[in-house]
Amino acid sequence: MKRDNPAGKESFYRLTPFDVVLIVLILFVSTGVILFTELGLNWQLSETSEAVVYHEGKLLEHLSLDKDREITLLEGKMILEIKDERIRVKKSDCPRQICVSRGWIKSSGQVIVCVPNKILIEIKKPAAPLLDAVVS
Amino acid sequence: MKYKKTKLAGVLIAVVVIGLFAIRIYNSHRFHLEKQTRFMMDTYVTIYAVGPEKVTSRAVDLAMDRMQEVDAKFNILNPKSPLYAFNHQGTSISDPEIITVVGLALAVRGASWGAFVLPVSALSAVWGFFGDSPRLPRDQEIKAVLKNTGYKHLRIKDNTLKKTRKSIRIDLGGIAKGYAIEQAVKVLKKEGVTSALIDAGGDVYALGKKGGRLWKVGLRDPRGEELLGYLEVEDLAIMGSGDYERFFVKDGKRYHHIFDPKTGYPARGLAGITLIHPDPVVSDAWNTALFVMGPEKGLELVGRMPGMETIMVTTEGKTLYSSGLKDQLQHISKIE
Repeated sequence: MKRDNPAGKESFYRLTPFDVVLIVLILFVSTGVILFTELGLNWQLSETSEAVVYHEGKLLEHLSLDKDREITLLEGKMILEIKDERIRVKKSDCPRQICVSRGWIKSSGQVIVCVPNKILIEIKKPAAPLLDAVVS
Repeated sequence: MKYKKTKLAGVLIAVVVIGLFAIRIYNSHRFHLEKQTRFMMDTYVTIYAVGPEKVTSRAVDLAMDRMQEVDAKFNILNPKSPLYAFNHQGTSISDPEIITVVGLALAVRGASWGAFVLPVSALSAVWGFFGDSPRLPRDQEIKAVLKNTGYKHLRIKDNTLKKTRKSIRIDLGGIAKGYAIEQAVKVLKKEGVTSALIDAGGDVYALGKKGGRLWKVGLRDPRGEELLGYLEVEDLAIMGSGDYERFFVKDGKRYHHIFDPKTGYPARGLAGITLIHPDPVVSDAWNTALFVMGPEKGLELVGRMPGMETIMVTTEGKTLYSSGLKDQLQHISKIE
């Protein structure tokens, strides 16, 4: 039986241009995958500022805060207003109007809640540090 | 030879890619962020929990259920609540949970020289804060309510709460939320959750850390749209009260829903308070009591309470910190 000849072994360990291409490729792929796994979350966060509206705990709408406008919710029961990257409840049919008197919110983690309509509006901002909650 | 090398490189790439994907899947499993919101206690409750999905989703469900149970038991408008029977028929209460919380409330009342009371709802009702249109009541109306807040007419004996005057009514609105949060934390811990955040309508409890970092909790500025700043916390309750939650303005004067039990009128001096303490029950009860006591007395008392810290904003717009918090508040300019 013939074992590996010394010459072949030597050529196996010798770096050729082809090997350099392979090494670069491996590095490239690995770095790409690491970036993808580790920074995947940050990529998601680098979207624009938005307000997220929940109804009965379920996602209702994503609203970008870039464009000034009014949004009608729940067939006209509530009207939201977006202006200068802030959001507020402009009108609501609820009795105590707590959501309307809450005024504008703009910082990440801030919320407006309307208990009678079971609506929760939450600000999400891309830039760190992202707040987990706001005490009020 | 070249073919052999290509094969080796291919295998290496495959191993790296598969390995990293395995790590990613493992991490997303381990650091899954479970989030659930329910409406209760006249507000919203959101619980976040970090951990394996199986563990966190069950734990959050159970914690929410437990909070709803506490809410139902402590809701004075619920005809099935022992408090309802106590208030309306005078039936004595032997429910151990209610007895415990009433005991805690009475202790806070004593330690705050009467700045914390149980029957806040009677005052809220006469001021119209339960209905659509709050109003300035007449002096006599307020005095009539105060007559029925007498603590000497409450007795806890042999684990039973009785009243010696029929008209006495109690409610635990100023402390029940703290108790509900405490119970939710217990459930989360029991179910194996070590990292969670409970936000009960702006009253927050941070359990452990959020993965590798602390939980970031912003503080509302009682008068402005901006935030005062934020705190980085773990295993702490951060609770707020303010004159901005429910109020009306008459003849240029602001009337809000946090009453001084001695006068029956809204407490003056503070616009907002944030209280930090490891125990959510203590935090909830004391933040009302300190709001009523006002800035000077309040700050002095916090200095003597171990583990308690506060940030107060006076009606003149001055921000006051307890000694342990001065350098803890992070400025919000970093956020925006």
